[in-house]
Amino acid sequence: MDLGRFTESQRAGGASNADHAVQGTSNDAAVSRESAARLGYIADPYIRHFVKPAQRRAPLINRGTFCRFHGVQNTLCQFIQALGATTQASGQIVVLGAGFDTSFFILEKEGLSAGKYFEIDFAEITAKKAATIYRHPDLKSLLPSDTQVAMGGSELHSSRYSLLSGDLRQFQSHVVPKLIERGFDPNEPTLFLSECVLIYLDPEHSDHIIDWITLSVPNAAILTYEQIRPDDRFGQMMIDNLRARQLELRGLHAYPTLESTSQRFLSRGWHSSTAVDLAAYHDRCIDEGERKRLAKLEFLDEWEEFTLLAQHYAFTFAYSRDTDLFQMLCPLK
Amino acid sequence: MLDVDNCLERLYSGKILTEAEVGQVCYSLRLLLADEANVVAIDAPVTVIGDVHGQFFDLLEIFSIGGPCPDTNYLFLGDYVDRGHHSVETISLLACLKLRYPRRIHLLRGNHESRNITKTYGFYAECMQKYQGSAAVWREFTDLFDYLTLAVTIDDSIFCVHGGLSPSIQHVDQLRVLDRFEEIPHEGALADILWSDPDAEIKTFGRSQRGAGYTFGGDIVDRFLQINGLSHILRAHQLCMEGYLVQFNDRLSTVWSAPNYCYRCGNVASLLNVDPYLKRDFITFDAAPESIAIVRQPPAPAPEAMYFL
Repeated sequence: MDLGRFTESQRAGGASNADHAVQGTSNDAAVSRESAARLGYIADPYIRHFVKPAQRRAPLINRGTFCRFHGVQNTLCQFIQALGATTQASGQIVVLGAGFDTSFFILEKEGLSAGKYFEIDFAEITAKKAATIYRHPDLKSLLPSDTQVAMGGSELHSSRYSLLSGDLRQFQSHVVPKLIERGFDPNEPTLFLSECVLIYLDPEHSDHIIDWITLSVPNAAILTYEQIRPDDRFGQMMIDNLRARQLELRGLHAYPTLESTSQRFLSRGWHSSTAVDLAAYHDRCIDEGERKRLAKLEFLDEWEEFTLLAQHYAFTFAYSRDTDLFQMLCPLK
Repeated sequence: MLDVDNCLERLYSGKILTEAEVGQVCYSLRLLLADEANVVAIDAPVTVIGDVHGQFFDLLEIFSIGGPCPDTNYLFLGDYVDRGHHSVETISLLACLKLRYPRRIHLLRGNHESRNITKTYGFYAECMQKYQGSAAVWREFTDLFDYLTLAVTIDDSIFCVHGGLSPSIQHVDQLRVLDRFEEIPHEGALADILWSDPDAEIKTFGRSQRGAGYTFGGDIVDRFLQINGLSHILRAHQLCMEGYLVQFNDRLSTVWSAPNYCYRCGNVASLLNVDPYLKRDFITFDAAPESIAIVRQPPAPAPEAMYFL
């Protein structure tokens, strides 16, 4: 383990209780994902490697995790398929704050891939992720054959997949150079993903990332999945409950509504932005057959509560230019 | 010989009973409830309480606001367990109160008073944890649940049930003749009255999103009240952000008594005072400070189990 690297990142990023709490959300997301996978809501045979001990989440959490997974996987698949259908470009996917997400492996197993796939997270997380991948043959075998362990075990480098350590608060100064070094091409059509990531950053830092994408990546699309609606009683309680566990939703008041999460991109000149909350996504984007299947997995006696919770999360999908490729993408319909 | 007063003293202070004591309480209470009809007639005044769902500190708040039992008559509409972290304390206290003051407190069965539901929604896990991996307490209580009464009428005028109405039940007498002493079935009259919800947007009965019971419109409410010579339906079962909801031109009310439900919803709760003249008066209340604190301090289950992070 390269302790020098950790010390530098700690000095630079000011690792603290707050950082540890944010890093902890990778575990929490993985536990929720594993619960949903084990119960049959979603197909993710890899997440269990990252979770110990496993926990069973409440039915409404499993249902919400299904919707989250559905939205993200749908977007990834549509992007990859649209690349093949509309351009010669190989395309790129950049996952901000990827945590223990297994999408690269799920897609790889299905034979779906973009030209390059980048995952970024704190070194503490990427080191654990790299070690876990190497410990399990079903994951390791899906890595590109030219994969190398780097940065004392906290990064994986290959021509197609890079697991990179970095602090998103130093995006342009530290993360971008790493991306470029690993072959990120700003001129390639690129899909950025942020699942409950930007929300933990001060708006100054998260906007900085979006500004950089706006200026540097002409053909960019982004899917965010973040909390909204801080101002009602549920939202207030959520903020207070999370704060008591050292989790601050720093970006929540800056982009508190569906409208504002879309305006975030439109105001920067992006061509299109759509936002939908998770409750509406569940009702409109999950078909009847799927919902019947879910109802058989667990009895959901929490509808009012599910709706209340799900209304406080939103997908926002935006793209910068009106190209053939992006016109094919409608993951929130 | 079971000393119920001693049990109550311990329970009010937040302690749980021993496994043996739970067995004795449930055994005695089953004998008592075996003689209670499916539909029990009670007199006003009475204070009506909706879902509590294991929120023990909020139950103590209810007694603080409504007055202690037996000084105040209480009717609980079911759903004592699951979701909250103190289902054991909650049902233990209510069971002992019923045993001690059977005419002063009435406990209806809710859809969560069920073996299947409690295995998914927390009561089973909590029993196992609090009784060192033994399922005996869960078995005792779930056996007890089979004996809880289904409905109450207040002064032959207000009909009280956990969920709502059933296409199989037009007359209250049809409820009286059911065999209630069993696990809640997936369908039929017993399932319906514990699972159904009113829906102001529809007429007649509709399909329920919950997977059990039905939704029912104002026409069904009016017909039921008219056929049975009743004036109002009181029920619980659905979260109300304001603590209660009055619908259908004041013919049906929902009472919800779990404030800040599941420690996250931020809702207010209510209790309903029915006075000797059948006047209905909702008193709203917030979560007890101990309740708010539960998910904010380790080692209690933490926000990661409550939100998407």
